[in-house]
Amino acid sequence: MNQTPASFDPAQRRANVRRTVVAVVCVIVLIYAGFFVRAVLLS
Amino acid sequence: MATHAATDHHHADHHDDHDHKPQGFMNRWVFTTNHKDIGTLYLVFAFIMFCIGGAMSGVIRAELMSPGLQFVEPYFFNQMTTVHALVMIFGGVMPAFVGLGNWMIPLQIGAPDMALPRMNNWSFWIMPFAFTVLLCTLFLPGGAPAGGWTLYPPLSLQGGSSVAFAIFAIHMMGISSIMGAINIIATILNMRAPGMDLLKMPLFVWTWLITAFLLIAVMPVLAGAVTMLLTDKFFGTSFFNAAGGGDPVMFQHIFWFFGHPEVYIMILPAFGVVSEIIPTFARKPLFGYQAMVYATASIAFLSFIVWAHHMFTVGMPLGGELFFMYATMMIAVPTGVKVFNWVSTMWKGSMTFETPMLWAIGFVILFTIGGFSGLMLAIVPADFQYHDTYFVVAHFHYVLVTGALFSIIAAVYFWWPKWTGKMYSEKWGKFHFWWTIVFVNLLFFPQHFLGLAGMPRRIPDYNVAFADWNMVSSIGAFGMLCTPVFMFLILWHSKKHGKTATAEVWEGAHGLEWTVPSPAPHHTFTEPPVIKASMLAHGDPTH
Amino acid sequence: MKSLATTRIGRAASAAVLAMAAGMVHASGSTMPARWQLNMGRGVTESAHNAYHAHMIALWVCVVIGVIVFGAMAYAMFKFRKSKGAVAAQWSHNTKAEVIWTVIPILILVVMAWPATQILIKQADTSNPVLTVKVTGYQWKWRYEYVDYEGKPTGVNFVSKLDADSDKTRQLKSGLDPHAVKVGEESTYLLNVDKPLVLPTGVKVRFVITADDVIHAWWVPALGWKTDAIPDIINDAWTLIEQPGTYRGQCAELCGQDHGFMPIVVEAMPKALFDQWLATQQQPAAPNATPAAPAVAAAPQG
Repeated sequence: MNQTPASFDPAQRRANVRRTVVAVVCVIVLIYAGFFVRAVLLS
Repeated sequence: MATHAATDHHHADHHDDHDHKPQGFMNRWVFTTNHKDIGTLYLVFAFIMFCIGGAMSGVIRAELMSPGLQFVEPYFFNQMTTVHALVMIFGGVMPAFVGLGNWMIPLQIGAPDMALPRMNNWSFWIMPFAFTVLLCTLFLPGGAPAGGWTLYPPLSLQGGSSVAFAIFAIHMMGISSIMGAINIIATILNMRAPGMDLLKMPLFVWTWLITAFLLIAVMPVLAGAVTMLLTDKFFGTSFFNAAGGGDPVMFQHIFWFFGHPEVYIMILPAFGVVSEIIPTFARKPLFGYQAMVYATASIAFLSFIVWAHHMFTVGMPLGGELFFMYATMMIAVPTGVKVFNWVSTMWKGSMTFETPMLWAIGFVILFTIGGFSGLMLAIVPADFQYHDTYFVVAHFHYVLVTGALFSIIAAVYFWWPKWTGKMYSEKWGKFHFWWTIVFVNLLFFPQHFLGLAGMPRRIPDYNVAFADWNMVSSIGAFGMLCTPVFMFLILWHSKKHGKTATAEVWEGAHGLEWTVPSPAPHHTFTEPPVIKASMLAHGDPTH
Repeated sequence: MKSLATTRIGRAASAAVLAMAAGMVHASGSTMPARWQLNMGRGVTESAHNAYHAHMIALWVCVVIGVIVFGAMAYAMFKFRKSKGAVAAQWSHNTKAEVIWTVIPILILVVMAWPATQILIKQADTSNPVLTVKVTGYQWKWRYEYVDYEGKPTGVNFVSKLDADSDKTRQLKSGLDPHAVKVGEESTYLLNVDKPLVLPTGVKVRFVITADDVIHAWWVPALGWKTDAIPDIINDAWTLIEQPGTYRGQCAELCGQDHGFMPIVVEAMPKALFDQWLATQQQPAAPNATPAAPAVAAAPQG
C-alpha cells in the first residue's frame, strides 16, 4: 500500500484510482473464478 | 442562488451560502453523484428499513409474550424471523454504515468526493429495488422465505418462488456492497489530501478501509453459495443434496465463511465511530492509535478462520472443533485491546457527557457484555448447550443492537450538527438514550436466562416455565419500538428549530471534518486542504 | 386374535414398568426448566456436568474481567469529569500497559481452553456402547430404533411425537390454557410426547443421529449436548445417564413450521427395568409392527 499521500495532479489521480479499481476487481474475479471452478468444473 | 447554479462548478472559491446544489428533486436525489447526498440517501433508507425490521420484531415479540399461539401461524412467524434478520442486516446496519462512510470518509481525508461518484449513485439505487423484491415475497403465494436468514438447505429449498426472489435480492445487495467497497478502497487509497498519511487517518476511515476489504472478499462467497442454492432448487443440481452426491453441511461452511466476516463488517465501522467520539468528549487523544489499527486488522484476519464456530454441533471431527475453538478465543485478545484502549482514553481525560458520548459509553459497556457471551459461546462443551438457544439470540443482539446500532445512533448525533448546521436538543437526546438503555436491556438480557434454561431459538411457542422472562423481554421490545419515533422527532425538531451549530461543534473536536463550516457545503475540499497538526486527531503531518 | 392378546399383555406390562419408573421420577427430582430460571441446569450425565462447569468457569472469568473493566470506566467517569475541574492529560501511549493487557488475556484464554479441550476429547469417544439407538428426525417427529443392545439387534423401533394435549392447545387461538397441560405436578406443555425414548441408566448409550427430510437437532439439556440430525449424514454421540428420571428436550435446529412442536422425552430407568420394558416391546413388535402407543402415553400420568 502506498504510504505517501495522493498526488493532486488530476490525471495522475485518475490513473491511481483506475489502478486500484483494476486490482480490486481482479481479486473479486479470482474469488468468483474459484467458485466457478469448484462448482462447475470439479463437481 | 438558483440562477447561477451548476454554471460555475469548476471554479474553486466557494462561499457558504453558495454551494451549487442541483435544483429539483430528480436532479438533487435521483441523479446525484454527491457523496453527501448519497450518504443521506443511505441513512434515510437504513432508517426506513430499521422501522420495517423493527415492526417485524414487534410481531415476533407479541407472539412470544405469552405461551400459546395468539396472533400468527408458526409458518408466518418463521417468515418474520427470517425477513427481520435479512432486513436488519442487509437493509439496516450495512447501509447505515455505508451512509456514514459516504458522508464522512471524504470529509475526514480531505477529498472532494468519492473516487467513483457515478458508481456511488448506482450502488445506492440498487438497494431500494433489492429490498422491494425481498419484501414483496411477503405477498407471494407461499409467503416469504421462512427457513431462517442463514438459508440452510434442504429447509430453505422447501420455499416456493420466494427462494428465487430472495436470492435475486441478495445478489443485488451483494453487487451494491461490492461496488460500495471498491469505491471506498479507491477513495481512501487515492484521494487523501497531502499530509494525510495512512497512519494519520482517523480511525473511522481505517476501520472502513478494512471493512471494505472484508466486503470484497466475502460478498462473492455469499453470491456463490446462494447461486448454488438457486441451481439446486430450479435446475436439478445437487451441490447440497446428499442423495445426489452433494453435502448439506458444505453450504453451512460456505455460508459462514461469508457470515463470520459479515459480523465484523457490521462491527468494525462501529469501533471506528466510537474511537472518534470518546477522544472528542474526553478531550484527550485516542489511547494507542496504532494498536487500534493493528487490532482492527487482526480481527479482520481472524474473522476468516473462525467460521465453523457457528457449526460446533454439525458433527465436525475433534481436530476441527479444537481449531475453531482456539481461533475463536483468540479474537478476544484484539477485541480486549480495543476495549482497554477506550477505557484508557477516558482515564485522566476531561469528560463531558453529551448525547453522542452517552451512546458511545453505552456501546463500550453493552458491546463488551456481548463479547463476553461470545467468549462463552466459543467454549465448545458449553456451546453444546448454548447452541441454537436464546442465549445465542441474546449474544448477537447485544453485539448488533447495543453494538452496531448504538454506534450508528451515536454517529448520527455526533455528526448531525455538521450535516445540518443545527444542534439537536440535548435534553431529548439524553432522554432517547436513557429510555433505550432501560428497554434494550429488558428486551435482551432475560434472553440469556431463557437460553440457559433451555429455550431453543426460532420457536413461536414455548413451555409455561419460560413465560415470565418472555413477558419481560416483550415489554422491553414494546419500549424499544418507540425509539425510532423519538429519534425521528428529535432530529425533525432540530432541523426545523435547532440552534445554529458552529464549525467545530464540539469543544474537543479534532479532524478535517470540523474545519469546514456547518452545515458542510455541498462541495468541500475542491482544493486540497493544507493540513495543520491541530486539525488532526492522530499525529501531526510534519513527521 | 392371539397377537391381539399378547399385545394387551404387552401393553399392561409396559404400563406397569413405566408407572414404576414414573414413581422414581418424583423421587429423583425434576430437570424441567423452572419459572424465572437464571442459570444452566446441572444435568444428569458427566457431559452435562462438564458443560455446566465449562459454562461456570467462562462465566466467572467474564464477571471478574467485567468488574475490573467496568469498574475502571465508572471510576474514570466519576473522577475525570470536566464539571469537576478535571484537566485532560495528553498522553496516548503506554507500551508497558499495552503489553500487559495483551499477554494476560492470552494466559486467561489458555487456562480456559485447557479444561475445555480435555472435556471435548472425552466426549468425542463413542466406543464400546452397551446400547445403540438410531435417532431419525422427520418433519416434525422423531423415530427411535434400538439398533443394538448388548451385541444383539432388538428390532424395537417407534415414532415419538408431540402429545395430543399439547397439540390441541397449541393451535392458533385454541382458547385452551397452556398452563393446564400437565403430567402430575409438572407443566409439560410442548415438552411431552406420545411415546418417550426409554433408556437404561448407568450404561453407555450411543446415538447415531440422522434425518429424513431437513436438518433437525436432537437436544435434551439434562444430557448435556445437542447434535444436528442431517439427512443422509450420520452423526454420533453418547451418553451415560446417572439417575432415573424423565428428561425433556426439543428440536434445536429450525426445521419448518412445526419446529417448535417436536419435543423429545427420555425416560431413564435402571437396567433391570429397562430389560423388562424392552422385552415387552419385542413381543408385540414381532408379529405386527404397531407399537403400544396408548399404554405408554397413559403411563406417565400414573
